[in-house]
Amino acid sequence: MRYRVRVLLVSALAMSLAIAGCAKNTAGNKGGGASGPSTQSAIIIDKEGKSPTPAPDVPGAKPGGTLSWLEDGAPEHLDPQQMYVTDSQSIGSLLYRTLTGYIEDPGGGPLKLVGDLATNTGESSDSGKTWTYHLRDGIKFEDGTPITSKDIAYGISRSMGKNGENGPPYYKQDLDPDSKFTWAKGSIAPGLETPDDKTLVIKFPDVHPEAPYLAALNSTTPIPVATDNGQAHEADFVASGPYKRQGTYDQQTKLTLVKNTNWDPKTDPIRHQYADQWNFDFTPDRDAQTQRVMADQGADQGAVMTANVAQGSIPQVQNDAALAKRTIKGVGTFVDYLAINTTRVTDLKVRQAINYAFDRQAYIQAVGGSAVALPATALLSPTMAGYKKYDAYPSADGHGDVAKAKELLGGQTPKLTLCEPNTSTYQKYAVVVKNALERAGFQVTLNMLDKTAYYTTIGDKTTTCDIMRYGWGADFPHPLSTLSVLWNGRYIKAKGNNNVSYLNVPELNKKLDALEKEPDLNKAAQMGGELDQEIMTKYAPDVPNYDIGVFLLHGSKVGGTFLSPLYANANLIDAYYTG
Amino acid sequence: MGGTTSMWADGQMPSADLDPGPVQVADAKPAEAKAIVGRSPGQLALMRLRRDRTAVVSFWVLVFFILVAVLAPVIQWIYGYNATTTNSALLDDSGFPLGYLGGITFSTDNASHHIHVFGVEPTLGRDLFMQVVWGMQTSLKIAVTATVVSTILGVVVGIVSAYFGGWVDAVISWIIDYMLAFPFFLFCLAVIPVINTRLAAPGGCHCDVSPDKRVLTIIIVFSLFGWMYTARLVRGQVLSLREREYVDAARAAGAPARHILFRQLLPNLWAPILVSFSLAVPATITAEAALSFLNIGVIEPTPDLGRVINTGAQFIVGLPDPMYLVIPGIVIFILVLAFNLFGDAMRDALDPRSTR
Repeated sequence: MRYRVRVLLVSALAMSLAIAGCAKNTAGNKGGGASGPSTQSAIIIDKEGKSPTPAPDVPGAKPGGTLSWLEDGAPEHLDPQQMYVTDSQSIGSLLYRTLTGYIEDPGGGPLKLVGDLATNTGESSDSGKTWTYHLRDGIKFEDGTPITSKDIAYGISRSMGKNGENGPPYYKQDLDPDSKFTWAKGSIAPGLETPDDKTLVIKFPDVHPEAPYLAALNSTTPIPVATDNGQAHEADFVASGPYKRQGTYDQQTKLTLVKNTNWDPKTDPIRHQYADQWNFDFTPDRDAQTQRVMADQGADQGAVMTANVAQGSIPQVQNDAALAKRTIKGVGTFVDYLAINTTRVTDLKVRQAINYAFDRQAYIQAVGGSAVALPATALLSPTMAGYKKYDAYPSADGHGDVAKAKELLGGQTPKLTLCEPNTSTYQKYAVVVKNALERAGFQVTLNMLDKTAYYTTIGDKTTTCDIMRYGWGADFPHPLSTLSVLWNGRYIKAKGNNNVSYLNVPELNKKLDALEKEPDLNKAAQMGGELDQEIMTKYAPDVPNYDIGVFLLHGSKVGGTFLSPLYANANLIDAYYTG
Repeated sequence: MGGTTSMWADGQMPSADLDPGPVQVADAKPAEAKAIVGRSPGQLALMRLRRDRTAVVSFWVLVFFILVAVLAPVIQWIYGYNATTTNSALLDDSGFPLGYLGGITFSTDNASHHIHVFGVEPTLGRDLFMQVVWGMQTSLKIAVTATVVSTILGVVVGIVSAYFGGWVDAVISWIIDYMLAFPFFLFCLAVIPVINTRLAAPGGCHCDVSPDKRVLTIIIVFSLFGWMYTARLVRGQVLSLREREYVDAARAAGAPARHILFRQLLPNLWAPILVSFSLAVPATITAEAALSFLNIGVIEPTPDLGRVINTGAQFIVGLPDPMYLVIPGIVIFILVLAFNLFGDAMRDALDPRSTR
């Protein structure tokens, strides 16, 4: 063994010297990254429940084989009501069903929201306060017990208690805005009614046209009260999807999923059950994942990565035709911003000048190039329904328009404090911003904050930061999940703000309120795209930096997978083993 | 260092200057015999040091590095390029330097129209040579200042503790043991961010933590945690010296404690102090580099050798730009090695009978 390892090391070193040491870097990989769509058409909502069951087969797919998933560390939560992070949601797509769900298009087309356990996306009455769901026939848990509306009502209630405090906050906020409900095992939250085993009625105190999206969150995963074992549910869970846990799960190193025989494809318009087994390996870090999937040996032929290809290997993958075929790349759901504190930088012209002076191209190079970061000029993510591409502060080469910035400043040299989390990477990014802004005459001081206290510090209304790095990933494809959260001034509080540009314009707040109440989801998506441009043009509260790029590899024997626009991972429910 | 005192045990050189640098020979007695030249211990040590080739080479290496650090602005003026100038046009799309060996070029035919003798930094496109030169200044500034402060602190505490003895000694020894029990890096990890956040957090002083203040924080923490070893060493020395005849003589002559401590005892302590100082400096340089590894060290845009190495290490996997780690790595390696070798040589010269 030792010998083999040494040979590997030596050859790796020789290879590297050939690649990096002695070869001339002539930027041959320019433009090899992903490119985002120019507009995102609105979302398809299957109100009538016309999606076919079982889900149409993936072309070329065959059953059998073992697929694996490589991740650096186990997801924090696999208890469905606690799941809020994309890695757990990807794994959850194999394990759990929800009231509604999304069908992702391998070709990058719009998302389709369909009824999952329910027959459709819900019928609203009472002008959008009450939502009624009818469940499909033949839906079962892994042990064969039928899934009833009471199990879903209990799941939603559970998400409002202590076993859901790390999950999305929406049901808690919307069903119980005054925090009157205290959850205890077995209790059902107010507003959830189950007239019979096949019907669930959700009554919000307020109008919630986005309820079909909320129903797709893992909060609505059914939980039989009898199996609710509290904290232990993280490792000992009950599956409703096409796969179930085999053996015990140690929550640290590995998880094995096998076919759930009680899952009936005829009840499911979304999922498939091709591979016999899924192995989740929670030990390899970014470099190990890159090396294993690039080497493509043995079981790794059926593996998908979760971390982007290691920075140093990206040029190699881009320039190798065989590897390039195995990449999963594109734009993820996260957008990186520089928020400008509008309570401190009150002059719109100064904020516009910051936007003009910013050197987006240099920033992207510092982040790691167009494979992992795509230039963002809009506030919404390109994966958001209704996304509209525009550039309110254009420059010829992506390096900013310094002349225009100087003109807007008119000889002023404003002093700005730039806040970033204190890590070695953010320090580099901070230098890029500082040098870019100083070209136009700004005087920028860096304030590197302890990273554990970062969001607490900048989320405090009295913060002394003028510019702050901020990132946002929308929870569901309704523009309100970005625009209202980040720029509706009504939600500003003393501490823990998401609106860290502290923008509070009554006129804009009214428009965002209207967006939140718009009953037609497609119209809401369009309104979102327009509002996005209006916010940037009229108020310039942020500098959009980049949309996070995904650049993964899968093994040579994985078929059918593609970039999941929801979770920015490999799509697992269409994947199969090519044998 | 146990046997160090034996060489001036005769006590005739109470104020001998043992500085191995440009030695003042004020105390040297006029030659009484032509054949036998009387030499002070300082002269002897210097002679031994001069004969030691390692010592001579490492000494000149140190002089070179110190000159580079001190003359950084002059070097920048001659080189004609700023350490903080970023240039993304020197990088490819993924942020790696264009050209050979991490962008090393001696021609001006590139985006910056300037030579880059050590190449450029990936991600930012700054000139690596200027980063290393200024980084060395930061590292040496921190290491030397912190070591000087902690040595002074250690010497004073050690002398006072040993000379007065009794409860003073007991209390100070207890404090020394207490401080030594602290795991240094864990303490840094806990204390430095707290101090910095305290300075920056709203509700605190509403001021920003400037890079200079961060450097100051690091110097203070290093000084506070570096004095114990010197203090113990000095205490041991003084315990054995304070019963000597010349001290008794001074005491009998009615000299005040201050005079005995700093005029009679201190000059005899220079040898161990110098050795411990020269060995503590490289230890502080590496510790400061380690702080950068933990992200609590010197921050951008102040150039720093330790931080350059920390970031460089991230570019070794997949090996897109190994030169970014190799060049600063070699520089800090030579610097620390030279300090250590010189410290060792000085110990040998001042105390030839000690064994390693």
